[in-house]
Amino acid sequence: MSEKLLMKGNEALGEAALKAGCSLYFAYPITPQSELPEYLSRRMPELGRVFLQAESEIAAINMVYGAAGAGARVMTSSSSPGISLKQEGISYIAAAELPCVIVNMSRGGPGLGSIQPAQSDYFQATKGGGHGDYHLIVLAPASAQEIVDLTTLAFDLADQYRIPVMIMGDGLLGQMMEPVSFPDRTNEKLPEKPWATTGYKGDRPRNVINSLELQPERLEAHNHKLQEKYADIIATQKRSEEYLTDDADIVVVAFGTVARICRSAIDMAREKGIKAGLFRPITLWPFPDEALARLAEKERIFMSVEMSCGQMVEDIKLAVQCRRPVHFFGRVGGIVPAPEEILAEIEKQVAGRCEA
Amino acid sequence: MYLEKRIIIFVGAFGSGKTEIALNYVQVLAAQQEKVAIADLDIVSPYFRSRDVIKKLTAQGIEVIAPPGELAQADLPIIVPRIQGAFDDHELKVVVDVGGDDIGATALGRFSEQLSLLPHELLLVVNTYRPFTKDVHGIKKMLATIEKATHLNVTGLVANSNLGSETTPEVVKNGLDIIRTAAEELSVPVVGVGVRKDLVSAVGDLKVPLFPITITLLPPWYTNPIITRDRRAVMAAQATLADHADHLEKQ
Repeated sequence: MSEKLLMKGNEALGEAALKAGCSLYFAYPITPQSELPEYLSRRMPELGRVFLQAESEIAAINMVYGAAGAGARVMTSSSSPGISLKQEGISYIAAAELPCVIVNMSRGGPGLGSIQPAQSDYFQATKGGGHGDYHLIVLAPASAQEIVDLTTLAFDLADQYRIPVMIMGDGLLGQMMEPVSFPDRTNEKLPEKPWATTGYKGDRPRNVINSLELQPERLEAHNHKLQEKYADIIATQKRSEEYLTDDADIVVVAFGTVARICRSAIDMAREKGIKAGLFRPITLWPFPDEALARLAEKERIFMSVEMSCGQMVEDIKLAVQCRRPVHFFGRVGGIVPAPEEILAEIEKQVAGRCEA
Repeated sequence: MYLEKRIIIFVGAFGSGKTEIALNYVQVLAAQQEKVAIADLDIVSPYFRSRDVIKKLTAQGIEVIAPPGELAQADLPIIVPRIQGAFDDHELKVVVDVGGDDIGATALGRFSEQLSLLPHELLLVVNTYRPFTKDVHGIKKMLATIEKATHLNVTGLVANSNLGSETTPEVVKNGLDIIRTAAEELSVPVVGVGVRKDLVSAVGDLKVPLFPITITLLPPWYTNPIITRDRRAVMAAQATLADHADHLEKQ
C-alpha cells in the first residue's frame, strides 16, 4: 500500500483510475465532479496519457466509444444532467459490448436541479437510462477509500465482461476529503482484446465495432447473447455489506454516503435499546436481492433511506417479496438527511409495529 | 498564532484547509473584541465554504462578506463589492478565505493594486498530505503559481498537515519538517501550525506558534464534531494562544 494522502473523493477516483491503467479520459466539466477532470488534467500529461475536455457530454461519450473500441482503458465522468446527455452513447457502447468506466457524482434533479448531493439517478443507472435491453454494472462506494477500491474493480469488471461500468457517487462523496492509500499494483497485464480495432495488418479477420443490426433474427440473437452475459453477472457479482443485522428488528437499507449517515443513526438507536441494523448494497446493479431475502426470512421491518423520492425501495420490495413491511424515508433537492431525523423514522416504524 | 497586520489572506492548494484556518482565526480575533470581517473569495468550490456557517459567525459579531441569499449555493464566480470597502476601512480587521490553487487565487489578483498599499499578510496554507504539496518541490511550485495569479507576494506559510480523522502528532510533525525546509528555501517564515484542538497537548512544543483548530465543516455522519473532546487540551491550547498574543503585544 502507498503512503496515506488526504484526498477528495473525486481526486481519489482520478488517481485510482490512473493506477488501474486508464490511458484516456474524455469529459465535460460539471459541478460537483469537476475536481476529477481538474485532477486528471494535471496528472495525465505528466504520465503521457490523454486528457481531453470535449465540446460536450455527447462528444465525450462518443470519444469513449471510439477509444474503448480500440481496446484502451478509458473513462468519462459527469453529474446528473451530463449523464442524461450521455445516455444514447452508453446504449451504443453496451450494444457494441465495449468496456469503459462512467462516473456519476449525482446532484439534485430533475432538470438542471441543484449542485448539492442526491441519489435520484438510481432508476436511470440501474433500469436502463438509454434505450434498449441493456444493463450497466453499477457500483456505489461510500467512502474515499472505497472509491479507490471500486474504481480498480470497475475497470477489471468492464474488461472481464466487455460491459460499461458505472461508479455512482454523489456530490458529498466527491467533495469530502478523507485519508486514502492506493494498493500497489504489480504491472498486471490487461486481458487480451482480440476484438479491438487496432489496425488491420492481414494477420487476423477485420474487426468492426458496430451497434446497428438491421436483420431482426440477428439482432434477436445478439440480445439473447447480452442477456446470457447479464445472467452470468447477476449470478456472480452481487455485493453488499451488513452492519448489526443479525438480531435487528429493523433493517435500514441505504447506499453510498447515506449508508454512513444511517450507520450513525443505527448506533444512536442501539444506545436507546432499539435493535437496528444496516444493509448496504455495494452493487446497485446487480442488486443484492438474495442477501436481503435471507434477512427477510426473519420477522423484521425494512426501511429504505435515500436522497430521492423512493427509487431503490422498489428493488427492496422485489427482494423481500411482500413477506415483510418495507418503508421509505427520503430527502431530496440536494438536502442530506441528518442522523437525528433517520433515528426519528426508525423509532416511528418500530413503535408503529408494536401498536399493530 | 496572532498576526499584527490588518488584512490576513489565506491562500493555498485545493483542500489545504484554508477555510477551516480562516474560520478559526476570525473567531479568535472576534473573541479578542476586534472589529472583524471574513470575506469568502472562494469562487471555485461551492461545497464546504465559509458561507455555510454565516449564522454562527454573525452571532459572534463577525461581518461575513459573501454572495447573498440563494447565490451562496450557486457555482457562480461572484465577488461582492463590499470586499473593496472592507479593505479600505482602517478600523476593520479583515480575514480573507481565497479559493484553491492559482485558479482560485486569480480572484484575489483583482485587488492586488489596492492590497499592495495596505498592511496585509498573504499566507500559504500547506498540508503535506495533499497530493500536489507533498514535498518541498510541490510547495514551491504551488507558491510560485499562486504569486503569479495574485500579483502579490506570499509573506508566510501556515503548516496544516493533517489526515483528517486519522491525524496523529507524527503527521503534524513530519509535515512541519517538510514545510520548514520549504520556508527556508523560500526565505519566508512559518507563522503558525494548525493543530486540531484535541491533539494540541499531544503535539507539544514545536518552536512555532500553535493554532488550535476546531473543525467546523463536517459531513453529517459525525454527530460530534471532534471525537474526543479533551477539555484540558482545549484550555491548554487557549492559554498558549493567549500567551503568544501577550508576547507579541510586549514586543
